Amino acid sequence: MEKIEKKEQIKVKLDKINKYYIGKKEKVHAVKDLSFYCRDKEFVALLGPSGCGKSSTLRMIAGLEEVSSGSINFGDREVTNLHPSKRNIGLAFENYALYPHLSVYENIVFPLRVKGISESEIKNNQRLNELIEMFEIDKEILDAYPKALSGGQAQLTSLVRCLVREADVYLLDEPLSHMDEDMRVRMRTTLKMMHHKMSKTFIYVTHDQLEAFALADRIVIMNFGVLQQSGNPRDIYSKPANQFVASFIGEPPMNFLECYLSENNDDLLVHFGEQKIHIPEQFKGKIQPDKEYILGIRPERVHVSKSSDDFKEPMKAYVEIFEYLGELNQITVKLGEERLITEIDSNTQYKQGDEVYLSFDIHHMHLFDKDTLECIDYKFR
Amino acid sequence: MYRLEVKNITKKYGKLTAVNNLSFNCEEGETVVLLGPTGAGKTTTLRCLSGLETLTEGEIFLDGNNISLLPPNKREVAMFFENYALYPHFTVRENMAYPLKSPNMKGQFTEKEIAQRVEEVAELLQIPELLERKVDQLSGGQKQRTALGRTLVRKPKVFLLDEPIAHLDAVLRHRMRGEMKRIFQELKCTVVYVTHDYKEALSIGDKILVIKKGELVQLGNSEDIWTRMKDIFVAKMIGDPPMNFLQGILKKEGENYLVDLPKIKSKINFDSKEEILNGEKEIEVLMGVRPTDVSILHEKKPNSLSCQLSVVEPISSNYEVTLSLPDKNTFKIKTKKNYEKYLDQDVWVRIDPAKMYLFNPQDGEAIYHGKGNL
Repeated sequence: MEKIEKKEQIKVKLDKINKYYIGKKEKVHAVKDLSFYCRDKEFVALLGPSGCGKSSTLRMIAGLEEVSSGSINFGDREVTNLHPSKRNIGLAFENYALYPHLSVYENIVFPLRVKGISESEIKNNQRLNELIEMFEIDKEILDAYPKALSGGQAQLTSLVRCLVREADVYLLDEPLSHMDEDMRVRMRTTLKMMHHKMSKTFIYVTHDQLEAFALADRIVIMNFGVLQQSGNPRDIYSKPANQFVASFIGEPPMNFLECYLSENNDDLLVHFGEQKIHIPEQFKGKIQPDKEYILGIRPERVHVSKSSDDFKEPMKAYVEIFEYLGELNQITVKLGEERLITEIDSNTQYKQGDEVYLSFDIHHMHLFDKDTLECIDYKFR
Repeated sequence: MYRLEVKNITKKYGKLTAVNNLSFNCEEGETVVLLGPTGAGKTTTLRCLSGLETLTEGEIFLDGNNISLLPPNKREVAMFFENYALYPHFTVRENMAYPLKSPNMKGQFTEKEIAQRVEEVAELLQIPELLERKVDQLSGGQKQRTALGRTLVRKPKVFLLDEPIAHLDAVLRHRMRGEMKRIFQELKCTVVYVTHDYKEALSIGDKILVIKKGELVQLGNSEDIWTRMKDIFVAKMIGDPPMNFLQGILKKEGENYLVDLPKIKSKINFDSKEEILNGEKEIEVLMGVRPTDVSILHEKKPNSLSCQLSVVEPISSNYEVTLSLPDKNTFKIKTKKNYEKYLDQDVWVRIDPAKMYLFNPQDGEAIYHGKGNL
């Protein structure tokens, strides 16, 4: 877990949270000893594959699920056993829970009406008008009833309704998931802009790594109920804590090669297939010879050339698949028995079977322990 | 010779025309991709080729034979469906062998021939080690390959695929896209592939047909579609994030052309030997610029637009930056550099005229393609 600077204000803090679901036959341990925090005004994304416990976690923060053990604090206030209505939170979920007998507009202003805010004040509510404009909800949709909406529009209504009210913390669970691609990307950008304007604390659950990266100041990655890594998107991308995080983040995905290491005088070498290349000195003393590792290298860190002269330690490979993708091209190469994906500029073309030379950007390569899958270079990067 | 010729096919459902007078050829060993949004008529076209739908008008030829009226099982075309419906309690081998053992194939193959075919196809799909495994023990990608294998064992002359990888997760989809391309190349089979994903189309297609409302918009190879798009519809389909569009007026200034952008008080100068104005003094245009074809400046320079940097979104190794223009419209760029520290500040975005496109706002037709992309 990252260190918390003393001066920083912590808005939401989870301490050793556990969640058990007890069924007739089995007990499911959905969230395991989870601790993380969210700074004031920060946008935190809870990211992980389905079943990783991220939604359970959000529901516990909201008070919709009971905590089996551990504590949740909002600032100095402990809320672990507090009723949801007492927590001062804004909620938006994947299923929209709109009031079917109210128009979109009435749904959106509902939280304001409940507070007894007068009609004229609602009309002039700056945030309301800003939200309607920025999220592109036109007059026609405002007058429509929920049953006439597409899934995406209903979800947007639910999101805007959540943001209209004044809350300490906004909790959002996959709020863009039912939108088509085009709308989702536009609304994602708008949501980020809105967060910036509102200057409030957001916790956002998603399984989509691109969405989490685009939106969040900080990402908390979970798998099987366990925290894998938390940090800002750039750090997680360049310094993954383990192989799960490394493989879950990035598109195209990171390449992995089974390897072992050797140390000879000053030479530190990584061996895979029939290849061996030098690796940076930082690994010295951190590795064991004859133990198995996994080498991880991102596609943009694999360089390709038609000539072996371009690299210090060229590795001969063959082009298996060439893909023209417009702004850049992508090739899949065969290096011995292993396949690697790499990106090349859009002016370079190859065809199947072409002989090429590869070079790894070794300062951006990772080594994972084959048994624990922990990243070895995580600590000294 | 497995050559598919589609001649002026039309499919109507009552008053609704799903496919309208569509013609194309798919040469032997070629992969043709049908690309278009939902409801464009891609799937209907594919179903017409397979024989699952009858044509309202037009003809389909395979190797010169008119197959338009043949039932599906006589057409020697195989269709691959997205939901693969494998038998979960069967092994991969049993699933793959199933089409060769089905009642209407009975007696056509010996057990040995069947085993040989299954193994050949498993080799191609790189799953020989999975043959004895039960389907319910497979990962999503392995199931996908098994399902492909089941279609391929019949050695169809023409292979039809409808969004075969659309529902896989991102990492798997990425890998399978390349795999599909490799498999089609090695099989040398004739393929018609339906997708709404432009990256799949560019990657896999030897030829791409962009379709809108049942009609052909553009037919070309990947480079044609990317750099010489026919109109705004094609431009909007291709690119992530999509192309930016700005309203302007094109006129001549001396020997040079000028795109005046009055709404945002900017001007873009460029020279071109082409006659774009068609004798007019000035015309309205939509200027299209891809998010990767611009650079951010911290001072005003010629051919730059003044804007405010409003959002930065990291996406894998890139950043997508949203800029707010003076007319409140936004402009998206994609870059390797992190501009987070310039949030809310004024910046200028430089347009490279060699990489811009101009469209006629009335009919959407492209009237100028920047030469820097060719």
